[in-house]
Amino acid sequence: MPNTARRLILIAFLVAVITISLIAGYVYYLRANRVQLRIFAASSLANLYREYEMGFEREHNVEIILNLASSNNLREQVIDGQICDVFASASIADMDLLEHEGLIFQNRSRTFTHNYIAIATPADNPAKLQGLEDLVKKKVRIILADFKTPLGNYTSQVLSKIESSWGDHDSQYYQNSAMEKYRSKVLANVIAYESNAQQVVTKVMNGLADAGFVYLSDVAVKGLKLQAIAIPAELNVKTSYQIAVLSNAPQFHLALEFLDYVFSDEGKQLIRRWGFTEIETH
Amino acid sequence: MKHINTDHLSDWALFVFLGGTCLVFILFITLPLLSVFLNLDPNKILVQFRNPQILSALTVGLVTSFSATLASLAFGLPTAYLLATRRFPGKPIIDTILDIPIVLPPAVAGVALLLAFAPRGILGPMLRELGIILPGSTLAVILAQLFVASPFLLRSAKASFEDVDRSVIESAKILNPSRLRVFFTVTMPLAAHGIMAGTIMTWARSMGEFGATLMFAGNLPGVTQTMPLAIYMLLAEDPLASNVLSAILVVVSFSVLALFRVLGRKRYGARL
Repeated sequence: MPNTARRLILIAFLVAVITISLIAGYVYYLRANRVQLRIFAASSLANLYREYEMGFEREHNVEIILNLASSNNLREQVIDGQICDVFASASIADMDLLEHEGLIFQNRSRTFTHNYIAIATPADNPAKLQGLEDLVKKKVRIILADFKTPLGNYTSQVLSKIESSWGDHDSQYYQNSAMEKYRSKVLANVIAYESNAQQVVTKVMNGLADAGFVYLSDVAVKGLKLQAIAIPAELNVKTSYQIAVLSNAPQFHLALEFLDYVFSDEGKQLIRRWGFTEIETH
Repeated sequence: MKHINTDHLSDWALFVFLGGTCLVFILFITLPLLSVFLNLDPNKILVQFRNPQILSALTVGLVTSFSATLASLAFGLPTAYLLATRRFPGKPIIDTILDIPIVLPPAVAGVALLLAFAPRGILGPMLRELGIILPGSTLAVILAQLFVASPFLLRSAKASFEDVDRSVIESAKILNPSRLRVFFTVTMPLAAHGIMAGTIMTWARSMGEFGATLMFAGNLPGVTQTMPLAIYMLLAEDPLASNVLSAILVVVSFSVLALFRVLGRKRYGARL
């Protein structure tokens, strides 16, 4: 290939890259100049908060930046000093920690929805799991959320509840010997601990495990490629999601308006649609 | 005759062995790369370019990798020149330290950057005084990419400066005593090929940076979510978007290597 042709190709490549990058820079500049509302939300709220994002942006001239991760991770990011306007936590404990640090506006956090724990299997249920007792069978591959995350913590509570109710000789609900030492038997089948709730759902959905402990809202939504195994109410835990405005939120007023939106009729309707449990109103 | 036959036989065995191994290996590499494209329905791709998640990942990815490459040039070229042309005590140690990010696991790079620059890190309180909080900012993405990708430019530029014939420089200096002038009219053009190759490598590596970005800058759509981060996050909820972004990055990788070929591997090949 002649040298001039080489040079032309190189120049064409450079011009293309530089042009595209400058366009991207301009788009980025336009976006950065818009008012940004940073919302840190528990990963299990992903679908719901994407809808909130769209709904709220429709009504307000604002760009919502949604940071989805496990609540304990988000709490650390806030304590580390990251810019955040609204925190929506999957656990009261993580919210409390921020309150103790004096980071929550007027120490005022509100519960906006509840959830329960459920067991999810891939749509084709490869291990043919029917009930809780099947999880202790040999070679069943289970994924849990890390115990430091809210979901992991709730999962741990549920496992202990099942063991002490169905697997304890002295319990009036005692089932059979398979349910004895239920917790450690299930833990022996765990192949991975994921860093947040969304990751557990993803992995199970893609068939990387036979089952995973997830939130009820994850399996309640139609269209997701999951099958659910219900956990009876007496063995389940009712979880609470809390939301609060940060005391040093740059977009303080918009943050308060966002909370109003979450508690509005539209907000509550979306909560139902995405499989969460409404709060009782007194 | 019999003797010749066995020779043929061993030739054949060798041929089958080599061909077989080679074929398996080629398939192993090619199949995953091809599958990125096999799932894509051309009719659905165009719609994806209006997907806000893809657009913001593209925007952030291009802006940060471009900035990181410019910063690599700004800091890497003088450093490379100094290391290539001067001898001083401790130089091998500096050479080695500056190359560490090439082999360092990106997760370690992420932790290291956090420990140094995060608000609770060594320089964190100082940066905070200045009103700079790096985690969760686009600047942090650029720094992560600079940390991980700049050694590619540095290595390549250093080697090119070293390869410039000293006698050419010396004669140029006799003709024109201005060091700066000699640098820009003689040294730079002679080293340009290697610098260009290193620059392109650094850009491509920046585009693909994942681990250090995720740990140090976080995963905020529109702010720190680059293409690899979006690929990871979208895998569950929007597999097609994830697939389209992957395809874009495969095309970029391929173009970069194709460009190296076009530019003549004599100059590039062994060095990178």
